[in-house]
Formats: sequence, C-alpha cells, structure tokens
Amino acid sequence: MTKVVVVGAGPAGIAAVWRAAQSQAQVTLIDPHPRPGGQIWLHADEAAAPKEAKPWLDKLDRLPVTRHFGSTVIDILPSVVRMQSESGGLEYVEFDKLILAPGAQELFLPFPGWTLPYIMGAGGALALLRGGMPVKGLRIAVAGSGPLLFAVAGKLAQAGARIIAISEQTSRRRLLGFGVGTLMHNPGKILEGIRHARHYLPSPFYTNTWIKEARGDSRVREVTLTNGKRLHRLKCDLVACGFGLVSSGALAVLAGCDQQSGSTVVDRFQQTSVKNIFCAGEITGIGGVDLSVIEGEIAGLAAAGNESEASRCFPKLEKQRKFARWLNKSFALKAQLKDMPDEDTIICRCEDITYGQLKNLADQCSAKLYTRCGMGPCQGRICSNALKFLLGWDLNTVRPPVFPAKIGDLISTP
Amino acid sequence: MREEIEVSVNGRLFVVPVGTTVAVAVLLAGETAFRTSITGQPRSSLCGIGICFECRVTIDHHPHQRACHRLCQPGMEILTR
Ligand SMILES: Cc1cc2nc3c(=O)[nH]c(=O)nc-3n(C[C@H](O)[C@H](O)[C@H](O)COP(=O)(O)OP(=O)(O)OC[C@H]3O[C@@H](n4cnc5c(N)ncnc54)[C@H](O)[C@@H]3O)c2cc1C
Ligand code: FES
Repeated sequence: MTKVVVVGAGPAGIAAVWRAAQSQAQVTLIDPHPRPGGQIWLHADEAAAPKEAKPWLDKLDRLPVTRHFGSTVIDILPSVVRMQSESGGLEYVEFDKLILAPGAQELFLPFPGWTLPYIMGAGGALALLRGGMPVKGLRIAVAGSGPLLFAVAGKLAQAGARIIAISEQTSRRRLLGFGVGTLMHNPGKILEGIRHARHYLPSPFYTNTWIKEARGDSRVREVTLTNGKRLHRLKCDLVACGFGLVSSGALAVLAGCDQQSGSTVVDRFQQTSVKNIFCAGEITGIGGVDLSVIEGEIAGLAAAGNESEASRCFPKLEKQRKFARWLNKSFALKAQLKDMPDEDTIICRCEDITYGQLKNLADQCSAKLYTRCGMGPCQGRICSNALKFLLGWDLNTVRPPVFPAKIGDLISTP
Repeated sequence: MREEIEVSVNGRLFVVPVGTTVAVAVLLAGETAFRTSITGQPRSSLCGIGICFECRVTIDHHPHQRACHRLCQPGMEILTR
C-alpha cells in the first residue's frame, strides 16, 4: 500500500485524504489544530460550521485514516516528516508520497500604530470570533483588501458588532469588474456576498482607501483612513485589517520545491518539482475554497496512483483557476500602500525593528545581519511578506525547524 | 446552553464556554496585552492562526505558548506578561 502523508487539514487536505483513502492508499493526516477544518471549516461549535463543511467533515470521520491533531510539521527529510506535538515532543512519520496543504496566511502591511492591541488581521478577527471573542457593541473598522473583508464585516456584524467602515484599497471600477467576473465564473459567491451584506449594510464603504494611522493607549481608540487626499478620522474599539492572502510556502521551500510569484509551482497532477511531493490548496496560489478542494482531490488521487480519475477533475480545475486569476487581478495592491509606514513604524514585531532601520539596507540578508529583522519567534512570517511588498526583498531561504522547537526535544530525537 | 469551564487568568478565576480559545479567555479577562515586546510595548493577538507569535502566554507553567492555538481546559492557569 502507498503511504500518503497529508500536511494540513483544511479543505485541500481533507479532499486529498478522502481521494487517497478511496484509492486504497494508507493515509496519515497532520494538523496543529485540535480538530480538522482549516481556516474556513474549523469551528469551536460544530453547529456554527458552514453548511458546505459538514459533508466533508463527516466523510473524514468515517475514513480509516491515522490522525495527528495538535501536531505541527517542522521538518521534511527524504521520505520522512518530523512533527512536533502540542506538548513539545517530536515524532517521525514515513511517507512514499507527501501532500502539502498548509494553506495561506494574511498579508499584513505596517502603518503607524498597527502594533496596538485590538488591531488584528481581518481573517484574524474571524479566527478569534470563532474562538469565542465577544464583539457585541464594539465599533469595528474593517480595512485592507480582498473579498475576505466582506465576509469579515458580515460575520462581525452578525455577532453584534457595529461596522463603522469598510475600507478597500482597490478602485470602485476594479471591484465592479470583480463582481462581473464572479457572476461569470462562480455565481454562487454572489449569493454568499449578498448574505454577508445583509448584516453589515448600511455601514460606510470606501474604495480606493487605506489606513493612514491608528492611535490608542493600552488598545486602539482611533483610526484614520485616507484616499491620498481626504482623511476620515474614526473612533473605534477594534480594527480588522488584512491586505489579502499569501501562500504559506515555508514547508515547500524547505523541501526544495520550485516557487513562482510567492507560490509553489505544480503540474496538472499537483506534483511539485520534487519527486513524490505534491501541493494542494492555497500553497499553490490564492483562489478560494472551491479551488482548494478540487486541487486536493487531484493531489489525493494522483499521489495514490489514480491518475486517470484525477484527470477527470481538470475541467473543474480550469474553471476555478480562471476565477482565481480574476480575483487576484481585481485586488492587486496599489503602489501608494508602500508609503503607509513612516520612519518609526515597527516592521519586525518580534524584534521591534523600524522601517527607518531597514529601508536603506540592501536585502533581507543584511537586515538579518545588522538588525535581527525576521529572526524572532515568527521567523519572518509576518515581516518578510511586508518587506517583499515594500522593498521588493525576496526571502527564499527557510531552515528547519520551520516552527520553533525546544533544543532539548531536537537533541533527544535522533 | 453550551457547557462552561473554569480557568484562571493572571490568578483570577473566569468561567468560559467550552471551545473558547486561550486567546479569547485572555480578552474576556479584560487583559489587552498578551506579552510585552522587547522595547516594552503591549502586544496582542494579530493573526489568530498561530503564525505571528504575538499571543504568547504561559499556560500551566509552560512559557511561550500560542494562546490562539489552544482551547481552554478545566483548571488551566494562564499568565500574560
Ligand atoms: C485567517 C484566515 C481566515 C479565513 N477566513 C475565510 C472565510 O471566512 N471565508 C473564506 O471563504 N475564506 C477564508 N479564508 C481563505 C481560506 O484560507 C481558503 O479559502 C481555504 O481555506 C484554503 O484551504 P486550504 O486547505 O488550502 O488551507 P487552510 O484552510 O488554511 O488549511 C491549512 C491547514 O494546514 C495547517 N498547517 C499549516 N502549516 C502546517 C504545518 N507545518 N504542519 C501541520 N499543519 C499545518 C493549518 O493550521 C491549517 O489547518 C481565510 C484565510 C485565513 C488565512
Ligand atoms: S495570534 Fe498570531 S500566533 Fe496567535
């Protein structure tokens, strides 16, 4: 039996597990969360999980799969992955085929005051809401870019928050274009959009607008939005701000898989440039849950050697990829956002390194050497994506462990 | 009604619904700062998904635990800094 190891229990990982198990592979699934679901299907309360998630979670429940929840993969070696459990212990899992489905993370762009408590990611606010964060009566500004902002505003409003502004950096024209494209390629999403809008309307909605600064004391109290000319100063209790998503590529980079424009390159069967390693979901590019599922199915089938069945998924794949291209074009970031941070704005939150300390350096390597930027616990996951946008720096070196591990644990497992 | 459990945040006891993350328990306790940055700034949860490490707290005497990643368990002792 082919041993297939799937890393990440989001939509892509779950679809991959299902298809690989169906094709008689021996499957292991690893995810740091206590339960499966990833960014959009994981909910503290099962009743709160989206309708679409239920059949998948049920399917996964019934499959003969070895599950390691609460575990994070920290290293990939030829035919084994090394994982760390919640309590810190390390274990090895052998594979014939490895499917990486670690998803995406938000892009955070620094602006003056962005380190204040109660300023969080847009998806971050959703994640905390899922974890039980009360938002009733809070005045919340939702800012940044991408369709996630609408979902965030809708869900926060539904939970009782007052959405005082939605600030999208893209232009009205591009946004309308996105609407038309969605109608053409993915009409179901329009209904989803309307469902969210019902909750946050008539909150003020600004296009071509971004955050100039935030102020506060022990937490954020006020945010100023701008379109480059006019300013809107708003009192607020929470700012949910994210500039779209970027692939979580660390594991694939570590394994030596070719990268392009920030994502892992795969062929039609989701095979990477490294033999026996497949990638599925938002690690290969940002395209939403439907694309993640179809990529997961293809990866699962192909890894288990069932290529003929996998190729039947190609038409659906092409349709979702078209939608993804449309999405990424519509929310392309405008160059003015590069002027958001000032000299004193912290860029590396782990080591408290400011933009002034960084902007005249040559590249990320000198930044590490001279300032320790990107060398804290998050290992540059937040600042390196920001610096890529702000200064064009590319960071393509990743060293194990990809998440911090205790030296004692690293030494005690050979 | 969802079941509830008791945890302590900085020595004070709080009752939270089952399924509450440690990060949310800290916010429910009225703490705005999870940790203090190396230049002394208060910091709180940013990404909510375990990648930014801003939500690090001490859980049951284990330091540097990501609060957004963990669910509250009965009797858990949570300390912010
Ligand atoms: C914070 C956030 C909130 C979002 N909210 C929404 C939303 O409300 N609606 C919407 O349509 N889209 C949302 N998205 C977009 C969503 O990510 C995609 O649509 C979809 O979930 C991608 O599926 P995936 O399977 O590729 O990845 P994910 O769903 O992200 O699943 C990846 C899984 O892999 C795990 N993982 C990562 N690294 C490792 C490792 N080293 N070892 C083991 N496991 C690992 C992660 O913890 C995660 O559980 C959100 C994205 C983010 C980042
Ligand atoms: S909030 Fe980012 S790691 Fe917990």
